[in-house]
Amino acid sequence: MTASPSQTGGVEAIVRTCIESVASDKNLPNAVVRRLIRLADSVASGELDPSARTQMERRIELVINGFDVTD
Amino acid sequence: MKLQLTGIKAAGLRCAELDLSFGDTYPPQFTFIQMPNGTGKTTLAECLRAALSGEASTWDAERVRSFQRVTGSDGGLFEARFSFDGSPLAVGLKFDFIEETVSYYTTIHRGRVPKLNLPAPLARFADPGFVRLYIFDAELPQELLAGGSDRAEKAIDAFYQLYVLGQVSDAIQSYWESQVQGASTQQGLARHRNRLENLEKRRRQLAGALARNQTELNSVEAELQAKESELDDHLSQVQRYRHEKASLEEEFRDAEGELAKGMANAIGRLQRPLDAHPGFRAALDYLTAGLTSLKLPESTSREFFRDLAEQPTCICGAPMTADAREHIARAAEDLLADDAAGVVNALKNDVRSFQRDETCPALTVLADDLASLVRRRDTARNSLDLLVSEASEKADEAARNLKEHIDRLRLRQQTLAASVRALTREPQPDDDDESTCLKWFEQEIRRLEQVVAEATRLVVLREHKDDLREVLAAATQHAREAARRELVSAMNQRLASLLPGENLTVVDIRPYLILQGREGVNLGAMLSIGYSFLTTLFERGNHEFPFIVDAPTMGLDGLAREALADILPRATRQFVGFVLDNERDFTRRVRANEPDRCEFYTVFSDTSRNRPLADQVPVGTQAAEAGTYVIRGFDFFDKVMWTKNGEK
Repeated sequence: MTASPSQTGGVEAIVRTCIESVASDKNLPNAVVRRLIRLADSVASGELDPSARTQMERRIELVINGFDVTD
Repeated sequence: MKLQLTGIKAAGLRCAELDLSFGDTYPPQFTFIQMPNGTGKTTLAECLRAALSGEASTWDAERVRSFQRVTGSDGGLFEARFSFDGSPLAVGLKFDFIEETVSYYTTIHRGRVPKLNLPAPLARFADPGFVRLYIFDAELPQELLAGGSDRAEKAIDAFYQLYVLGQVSDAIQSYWESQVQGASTQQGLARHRNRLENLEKRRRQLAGALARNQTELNSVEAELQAKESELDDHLSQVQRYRHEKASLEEEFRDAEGELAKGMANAIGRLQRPLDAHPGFRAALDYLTAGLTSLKLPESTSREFFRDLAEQPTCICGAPMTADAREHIARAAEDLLADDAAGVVNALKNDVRSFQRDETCPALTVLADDLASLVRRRDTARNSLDLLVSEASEKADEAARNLKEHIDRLRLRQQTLAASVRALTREPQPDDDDESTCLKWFEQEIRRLEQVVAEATRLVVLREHKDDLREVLAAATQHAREAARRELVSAMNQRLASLLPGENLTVVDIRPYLILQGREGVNLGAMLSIGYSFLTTLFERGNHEFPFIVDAPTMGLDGLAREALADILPRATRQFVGFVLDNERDFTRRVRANEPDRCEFYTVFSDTSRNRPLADQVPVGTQAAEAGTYVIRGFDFFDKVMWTKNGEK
């Protein structure tokens, strides 16, 4: 597998691919995977400080709510 | 995150005195600082590493002394200036060679703090091992190739930002912990559900019993009323019975009326606390005793004492002597206060009158009266019952049968009424799952339903949390593997260009660099492997660090130097090299590749050893502090002769 460096300022393409692959094996809903990657992107790019508890909790809640979303 | 070195300053240390600025915002891609041996290249590199790693705080006295200028100095300063995500950042090390200590300061924007205080995104990389990756240490390539070191693996985690997944996973765990309150485990949920099921079953049983008992009670009471009426009609055929019954009924009604009045009176008295509990009366006595020491209102009381003192006899009956008059006048001053105290006096009077209220009977008397009234009413009812019983005995068989039936109905009515009362009573604190109080079951079921709902939410939440963390952990492992394969492939291509024909291949980089079929390599090959690994790594990720190297090509042959010069423009956004004069083939090659992106400095001290250099400085150039020459520009950098006889 080859991947170029991320162009979005988020996680590396390799990392994104691996999250998608593992999540698919576990049958996680697409909404959860999308939101989880977006959360990791925000942390990786510095847009979201992982020590900012309230903001992180809001984003995690969004990821968890994705379990109830029908794709 | 983007970190660029924008300047360095050194004074009083074992290196040249210098203050170089590479540009506040856009330093050049390549900065070469040419310094002869003994000018302090290694000292500068070590100070730079300490500025970004914090390791100086662990230096002992001997280590601190190693930075002291040979000619002696009481103190020294090193300051590294950076552009961090576009904002200025400066880290300083202040050396105290008398105390043999070193301390940090950090300047962010215009604020300075007396400690190392790197911004959070940079602080996570403030690790001596990591800093050595980009402020290159000659021993690093050897460590990358040494078994037992996991430096290569850690570097992958940092540049591919795999730690981000760990941060997200930790945040998910924290979120979960913040949500957990009370029962949350699957076992806890099952226990609550089982109890709820049992409570609901019991409530249904009790509700059924209440409905049945209430229905039967209604039926029994209706039948009882009908049978009593029937028996009354039957017995009323006898005149004497009718008269006695009317008289007893009147007595019963009268007794009930008196009892109702007594009850109303007792409830009214209960509202008076003095009657309800003797403790109130004791407390009131205590209050009154305290009130007696209070003072009297001045304007209304002064006249009283004045008049009293002029009377021939005192109010106690004793003759008023001159001493008594003087005593009254003196004591009055202690008893008088301003008029606001009049409220207190009014209170005293109220309390006294309240306590003197002898018309209020004690509660025990009331209770005795009530008991007497109850007895009178019960006696009247029993007399009525007795009249009916005796009349029934004396009457015919039909009346006797009717009476027996009525007695059975009454017994049943009492049983059913007691059961209905027990089922419909208000909950008590000692009610539990064995209770027959229907309202308690309804309350407990409502409470437990909330607990179960919350526990159910948490159990589902925990499953989601575990799923997410498992995905993140597995993705980290998979990504590390994928990155490893990608890096091995890319760095081997780079290695081939640095060492053509050497047939040197890296087969793995986990946890350290492993060569195919080779036990060891020479210095040049080791450096080439290190460069291949680091420059390949630097191309990944969102983080940009300056690549700072002391003597970057020492140990590399000409071909490798050329190859490195060709690779670096693609691999790093900022390269700072402390070079010797014998690396000029490399610096020329870089300049040829990137003519507009290079800056050159020549730095040396005006010592006897460096006299040939000082002799060549452009006319008019003056040495700075401590006799240090800092000459900017490629011409001098490339042409200055470093030998005594002028031959390079």
